[in-house]
Amino acid sequence: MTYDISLTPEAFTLVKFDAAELLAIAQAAADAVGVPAGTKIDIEVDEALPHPLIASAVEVGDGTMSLWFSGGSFEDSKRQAMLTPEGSLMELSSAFLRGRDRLDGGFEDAPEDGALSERQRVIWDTYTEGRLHRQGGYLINEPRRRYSYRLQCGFNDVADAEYERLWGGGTATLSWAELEEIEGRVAAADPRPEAKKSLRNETLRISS
Amino acid sequence: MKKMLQPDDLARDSRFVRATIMDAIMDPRNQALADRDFGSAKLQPGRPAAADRARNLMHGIFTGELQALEGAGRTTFDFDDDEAPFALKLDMARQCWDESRHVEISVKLGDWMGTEIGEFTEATFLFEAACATDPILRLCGVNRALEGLAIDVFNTMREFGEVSGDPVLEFCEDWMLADEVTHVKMGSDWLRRLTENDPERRENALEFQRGVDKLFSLGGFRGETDENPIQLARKLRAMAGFTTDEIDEISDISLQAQEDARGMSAGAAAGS
Repeated sequence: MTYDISLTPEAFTLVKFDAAELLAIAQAAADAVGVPAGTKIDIEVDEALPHPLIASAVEVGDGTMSLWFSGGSFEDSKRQAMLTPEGSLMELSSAFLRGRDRLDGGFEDAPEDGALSERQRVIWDTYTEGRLHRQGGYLINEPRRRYSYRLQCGFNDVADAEYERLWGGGTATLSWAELEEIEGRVAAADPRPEAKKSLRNETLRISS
Repeated sequence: MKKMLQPDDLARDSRFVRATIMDAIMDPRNQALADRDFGSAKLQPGRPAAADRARNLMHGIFTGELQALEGAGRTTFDFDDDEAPFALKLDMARQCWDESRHVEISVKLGDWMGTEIGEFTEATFLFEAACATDPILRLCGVNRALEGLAIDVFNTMREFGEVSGDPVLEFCEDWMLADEVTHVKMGSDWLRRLTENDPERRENALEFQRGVDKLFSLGGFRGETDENPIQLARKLRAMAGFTTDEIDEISDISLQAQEDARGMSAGAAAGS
């Protein structure tokens, strides 16, 4: 399947990414997770944000899937400013899968990514990465995902049980409403005090 | 057996990839980042990419422990008894045992956090401080500067574990932190004993330490403001025997290192 994919910037200047290579990986990722034919895909990469600043956002609307990534999402952790094809495939596939969730996968009424709490986002990411893991063909670091999840959802048995269901397919399909229920359960079991909200910018993404 | 190993001589398998501090400081992205306001750079669970930043730091701790082990090990072997007393070597041997445990703990913490050995690059500037040909310079560079930095790093990670409710990270960092306080005291004690009648040698050693402290501040990595991910641990440093004046000096050196890095980064950006 082919897609109309655009990439911003068209050429990278701060990192040594090959735009054509990244576009080819995006094409393969969209194919692999079944992005509907005819979907217009806009990818924006903030190349100033280095590894390990890994962040992404997905929006859908009017037949277009808009993806934003930090440059660190595609950067090889061992080679400064160089592209990691395997990691890029994983990050792009995750984003496309979440885009599909937003299109018709039960997350049509989910708030936009910028409005998600860290906890909601990490639950969704765990559900997404678990599906890619079961699909196969991806270089997935499961302990990394587990740690990211625990950091937001808590280091306790309730959070771990929810994680196992999300990762292992106990929740084969999830909706936004079900995700909120999971969030409620892990929040209720989390003894940590709610973090105070900072008045300063808590996102890596610069609003355009 | 060869004495005075250089950083390139360190034994590493194919998982490890070397990087230099200058690679990081001269990265053209630094200037673009400096122009933005992301809020506090402190390591906190609610901050963007906190998990991956913590994993990256954990790997840095692991390679640091590895090099601290190698540095202390070389000091037991590189010097004759007239250059370094046997009791000093005995302290270094004991430190090797501590560092070995720290390496092992760091590997297990890496497993816990999803970090693989060699997942991130390794800079060898820590071992470089252990290549000095005067044992007193090594003790100042490694035990007082490097192990002092370790106090700051471990305290930051311990607090991160505490705030995030991670009992494993908090517990392990707390135990390693206790060892680092001892290592700094060893350095301070031997500096005092071996230079008791040689003020010039003592001043040379302290000057070497200032240079290493500046290098270890890594262009703003360690300091006392919101811009510094690693916070200077004043109370624990005092427990390790640093005077208030010495801690103030490290704070000033850290600020200077941050300014220097900004200047180099801006120069690199203007020249590219």
